[in-house]
Amino acid sequence: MTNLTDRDKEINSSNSYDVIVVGAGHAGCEASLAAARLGCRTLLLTLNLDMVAFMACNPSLGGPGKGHLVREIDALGGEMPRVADRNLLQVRLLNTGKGPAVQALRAQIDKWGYQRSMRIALEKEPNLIIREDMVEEILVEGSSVSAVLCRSGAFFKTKTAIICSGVYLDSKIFLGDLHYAASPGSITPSHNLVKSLQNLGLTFERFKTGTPPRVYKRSIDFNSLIPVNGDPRAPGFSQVGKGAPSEQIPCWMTYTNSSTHDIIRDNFSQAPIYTGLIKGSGPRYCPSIEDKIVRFADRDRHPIFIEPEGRDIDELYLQGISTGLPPDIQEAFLQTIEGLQNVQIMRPAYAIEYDYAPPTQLKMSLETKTTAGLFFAGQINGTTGYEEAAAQGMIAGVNAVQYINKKDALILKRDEAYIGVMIDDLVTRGVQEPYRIFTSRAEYRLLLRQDNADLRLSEISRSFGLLDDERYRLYLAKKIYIESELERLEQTRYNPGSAIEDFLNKHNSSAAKHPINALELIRRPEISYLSYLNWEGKEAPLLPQGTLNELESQIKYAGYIAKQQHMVEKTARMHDKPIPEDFDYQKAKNISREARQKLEQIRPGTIGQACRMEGVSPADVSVLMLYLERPDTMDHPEAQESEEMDDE
Amino acid sequence: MNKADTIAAISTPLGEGGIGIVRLSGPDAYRITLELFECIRSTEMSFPEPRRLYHGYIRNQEGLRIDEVLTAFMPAPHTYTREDVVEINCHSGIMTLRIILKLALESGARLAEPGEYTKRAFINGRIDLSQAEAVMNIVRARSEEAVQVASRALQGELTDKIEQIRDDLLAARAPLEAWFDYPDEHEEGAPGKDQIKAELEQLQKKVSEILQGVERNRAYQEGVSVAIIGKPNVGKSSLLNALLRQQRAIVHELPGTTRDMLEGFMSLGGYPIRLVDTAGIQGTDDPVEKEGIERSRLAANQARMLIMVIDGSTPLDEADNEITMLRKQNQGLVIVVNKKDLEKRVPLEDLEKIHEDAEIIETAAIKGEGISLLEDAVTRQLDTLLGSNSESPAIVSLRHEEILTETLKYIDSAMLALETHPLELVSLELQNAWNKLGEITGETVSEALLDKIFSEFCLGK
Repeated sequence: MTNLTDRDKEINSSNSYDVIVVGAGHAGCEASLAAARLGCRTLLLTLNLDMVAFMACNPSLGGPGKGHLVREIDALGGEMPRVADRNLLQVRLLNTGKGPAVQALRAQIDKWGYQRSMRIALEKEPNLIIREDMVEEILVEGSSVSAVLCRSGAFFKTKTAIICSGVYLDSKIFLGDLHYAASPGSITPSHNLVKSLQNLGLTFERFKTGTPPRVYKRSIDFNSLIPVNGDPRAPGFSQVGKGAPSEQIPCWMTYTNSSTHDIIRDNFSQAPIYTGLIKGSGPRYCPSIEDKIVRFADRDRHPIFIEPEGRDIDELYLQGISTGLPPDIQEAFLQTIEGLQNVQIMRPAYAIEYDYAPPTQLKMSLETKTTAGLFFAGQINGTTGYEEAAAQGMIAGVNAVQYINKKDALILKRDEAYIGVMIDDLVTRGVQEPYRIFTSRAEYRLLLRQDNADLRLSEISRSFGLLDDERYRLYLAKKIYIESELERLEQTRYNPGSAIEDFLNKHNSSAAKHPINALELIRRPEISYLSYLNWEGKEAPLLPQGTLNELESQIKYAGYIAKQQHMVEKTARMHDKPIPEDFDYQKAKNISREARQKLEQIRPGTIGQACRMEGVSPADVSVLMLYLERPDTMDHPEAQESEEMDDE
Repeated sequence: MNKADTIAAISTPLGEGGIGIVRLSGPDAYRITLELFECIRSTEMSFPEPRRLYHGYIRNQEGLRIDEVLTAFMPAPHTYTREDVVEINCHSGIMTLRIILKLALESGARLAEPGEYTKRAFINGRIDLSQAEAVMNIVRARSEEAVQVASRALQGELTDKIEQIRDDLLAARAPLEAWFDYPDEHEEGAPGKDQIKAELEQLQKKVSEILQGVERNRAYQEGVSVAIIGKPNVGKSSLLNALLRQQRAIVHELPGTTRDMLEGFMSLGGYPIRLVDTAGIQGTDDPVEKEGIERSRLAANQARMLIMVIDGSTPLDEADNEITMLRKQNQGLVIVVNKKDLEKRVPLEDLEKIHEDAEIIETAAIKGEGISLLEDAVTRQLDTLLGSNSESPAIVSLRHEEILTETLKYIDSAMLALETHPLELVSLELQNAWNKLGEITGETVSEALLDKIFSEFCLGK
């Protein structure tokens, strides 16, 4: 113990914190880092310090929607993108050519490396203490958080608590007809914490999900499998990352067949989801192989992606074949599959059922409505996915700090970020199945491109004090280059018959009939920004990643982007209209009873949010708006005297 | 609830009746009116006196006079909505009212939702507190019926059609979205362009058919305007006489009182037709004749279809060609090569080449020859224009028609995007179309939808 600063001593010796984060998964890590970086004394408690940032399911990050979230986390100054970039096994840019806003990055990640890097990041953070213990009780004073009590008897005073408990609340693991109280990593789940939260007035429901088998690499015959290789030029997630690693590891692809399906069908009686053993509902978009065979009975095969779990370990993940069947049946049906005839299971697949708290109990800040200073982030809110969890963690971490400082919460809007779409969906509409992000959830998708995440969010995160200098500088460089190029290209004009003809000819582009500027040239499908720059005899300077792609999107889709922007502005006047937090719905008699109850429960912050609620009809919203326009009608519904009557 | 908007609507019941009112309310009501209105004593117009009737004309963008009107300006706040209000009193029936409303919309007004005037009156404090409860109740009751109201307005079959189109839009979008969000797992590979194209064509057809039905329905009720145009002395008037004489029993002929035009009414193929004989169009310096020619152009501009008359005994010249240019896109055309009893100097093949979709009929109007052929041709053209084979829907409100037109534009844009842009943009346009149609069925939360619930109040009350 050398070089301890006074501040370190103070933190180490004190049992009092600004922020306590419960759980060190993907949400907890971001939450605690954000809070600590914003200057709060932060304690991160975890059931097992070896399980920090554990990727309990697939060894990958990103993809459509999810990749967008990771880019947004980067723009908010989060850790996930940087840690991911240090542990890339393979990177691919998906959906190129399908459109500017559905393009997304997906990467295979070295799981063990990821955990190690995140642990280092946590340890390096001066305001942050990490400690192993199980939180059993959240204590309150009045209706505000005051302390947490742990299994070891440790007691910590705190102003705020952020619960990021993942699937570790009263979880049960199912292996065929075998089931036992456990959570990923065979850790004993937390039971008393749920009781404590219920005592605060919070309710819980159950969800189920599953994870596929992991197998020995040496037991696979790769000769008969289809390789899926990385893209050597792919960027990374973080603006400060280096992009694709020099040595990428392939994934592999194979298919189930009718013999596979026969074995599975013959053993349905042993699958917990069909025997009724599991009661929680599972995600439609992440079905078990049993589900797939029942629901898509006409399909004679299903794809399986084989993904490495690490660079130098022999474990492989079989994506697409999660199952609740017993391990011996798993091995039997896997061995019917091309390339897997001799497969040896390392960890069998299992299904898991766990508690979540319906997220309609939260405010947009992710603070619970019942208890001031108590925040929820990640899977406890009914979501699934590392990226979804990390994004919520960031927001909860920032907002715990805002709460302490009595400042406005960070709430991103639906046209600003996927994070905004997700949290609004959760808080406003709740969840019927584990929630994951999709690009189609964003009604203003075209505005939410992965390459403009920094342009959308950097100023916001900088103003909250989240964004480090390096990433802020890169953002500025990108923004300035794009803006100045747009201006230069607009002012660069060519007359018909000028030197531009050769260029157009070369790219099979029709001759210019009228004077044309360079923006209009690049808008043509057959002309790219780089080919134009090349023809000009110029070379793009060294730029932050994504700059050229983003510039080109802004040029080529300018019309569409402007139209969406216009739609946002058109509804903004109504949708951004605030509803006072203390609005008395009981007095708003003309709103239907059902809607009044819902509104009372959700307490939407804006008219737009009220519009998106289940059980609130457009009629109810209209009446609500009338009350807001004429608050006088609320207090005196039967008032007699009017203002002067007009002659007409 | 966009208070910065200026709204406009026809505020008198649609149907027979000499006078109708187009009413505007909102901050731009004056500006929009002054763009269209030409006062006979124009010097007074910069600050019109409140509540006075001004006599003048409404002109369209090309400067053509649409109608003679009386206009009243009423400044805020002493008006029904407590906003600036303008009322334009028109004289020439429903078709003219629609044109004037359309001009107001093109100049920046927005079509008022049913009952929006009353809603503005309420929000702006014009309706007093004692009435608030009543207004709330009506809103409540009314809005619960919003969807039924829409259904009733459209009547079952058409509602079904719109629901079907929305389903089709979703069905077209779904595979694209799956392909975006699951790039690897998509077993079937990229959605085929040909398949999407076929789906979009079907969608275009379905929406167009409804719109055509709307127009045909309106044509049955309000009549179709057909203008006879051509150079002087090619036989336009004898053609009019020939057409009307055959319809003697149901025809009444009006002499041109205020205009140098003759009009008459006849019925062809079930369509009531307003037949307008125009002054011959030619270059002239005579001011009276010039005015007559202006009116001919306006008549041609407003007609749903044209009968262009050519003297078959003299070769085509520049003047004939210029008259051809008067035809607007989407306007029906029958070319009559008149005086077939004389020596033929106009080769029909030449005309056919230039006007592929027009019918060409040879007549000798003065002898009544070829007239029944002409009638058949006019009927065929109208059937094509107005879609004789689609079923006739019930009356569709102007608002519904506007939504359908917008929807069709989005589908057209999707088709365009399919050729030149990545599929994400195709999906975007389909999303827009779906949202747009939702404004009819009440399934999209949007400003327009919210406003719809005020439909309890008669439009423009």
